[in-house]
Amino acid sequence: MQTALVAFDSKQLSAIMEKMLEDLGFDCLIASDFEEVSQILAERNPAVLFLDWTLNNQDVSEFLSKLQEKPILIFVSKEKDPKQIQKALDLGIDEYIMKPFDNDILQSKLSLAGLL
Amino acid sequence: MTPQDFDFIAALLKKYSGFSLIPSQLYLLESRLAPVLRQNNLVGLEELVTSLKLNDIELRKSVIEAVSVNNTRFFRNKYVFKTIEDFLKDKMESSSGIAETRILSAGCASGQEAVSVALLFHEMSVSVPKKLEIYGLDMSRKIIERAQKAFYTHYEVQKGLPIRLLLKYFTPIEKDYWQLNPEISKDIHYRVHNLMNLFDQKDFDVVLCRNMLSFMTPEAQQTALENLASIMKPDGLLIIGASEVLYENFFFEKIPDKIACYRLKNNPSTKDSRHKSLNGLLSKKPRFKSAITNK
Repeated sequence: MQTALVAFDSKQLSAIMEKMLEDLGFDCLIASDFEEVSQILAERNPAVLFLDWTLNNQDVSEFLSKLQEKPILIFVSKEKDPKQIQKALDLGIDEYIMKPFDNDILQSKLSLAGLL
Repeated sequence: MTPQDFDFIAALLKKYSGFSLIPSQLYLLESRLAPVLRQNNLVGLEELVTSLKLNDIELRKSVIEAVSVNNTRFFRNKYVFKTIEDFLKDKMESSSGIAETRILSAGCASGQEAVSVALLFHEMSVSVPKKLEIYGLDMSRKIIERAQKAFYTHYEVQKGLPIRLLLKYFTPIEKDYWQLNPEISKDIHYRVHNLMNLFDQKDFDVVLCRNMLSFMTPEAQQTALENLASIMKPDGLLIIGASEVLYENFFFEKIPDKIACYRLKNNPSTKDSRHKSLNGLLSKKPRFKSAITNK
């Protein structure tokens, strides 16, 4: 079973993602700050990490720039401005989900990222 | 819906669109007809059938559209696009001068398949100058008008379309819609067309006709295949749905080891001689006629 890590400020979103990912056959872990993310990345080696632009008031770009071994990265955000999405791609993300989204979109993005 | 009403509508669909409906599709029929009832202020299916029997042509068109429209998404079944890419690359690399590629998306619905092929084409790197012409056909005028607008919802653009391609080829317009850029949409032409009739464009390299032929009666499928065969290049490729199987026919043969891919029989004979022999064979067969015009 593949492991997914979700790290969002919204506990509600993390819970929804957990349910959706488990339905798609993933083992899902939840982190609430970048320290926890780093720790889980090192210990559990998840196949995919879901993030938004910020986590616990910290900007994601600094965290990503320091990241050594990257899992597949998928942003989930309400930000729809193409310039901002391009910035996320420049940070090295693999896919981008614009909120709101449904099961079908999540599945499609995982498939595009080569995970399904 | 009474069995009599179901049979009436099934016969109507068969007559005008070649679609063959089986009793287990009753649920599908009822759910697809619900919007037609609402739009036409009809109380129930009984009233719908009564109006159809009174020869309400507009209503009949609505019913055919509602039942035959299929779901679609970008790059549906990735292997199909890999097959097209390999096929076109081989062809283009061996051509001299500008390689013009002609693609047909039959049963194109809101156009995601046609757009996907166009994007694939633009992303392909080949050493020859290339030119593209895509035609998207559907029986539904409503869905063709939608496809021609070339904009897609927030949900649609997130299904099957890589984010990189969304940014490169689409522009967000009013709330939650993304417009396909003119550099891509200029090469795609949509037409209202029923495969029971011959299309007025020809010389297609690739014809995509997925998840449509298997809903047809054997006679209608034969007609559709003949109509497709006569507008393809002799070395053209026909791609059908992965789970579909064609009836034994005079026009196409399966390409071994390729999922759902067919080529013309008698390849590489010229189109004229092929037509002659096929017409001879077919003249003894009962032909399916459609009352729906090409317009």
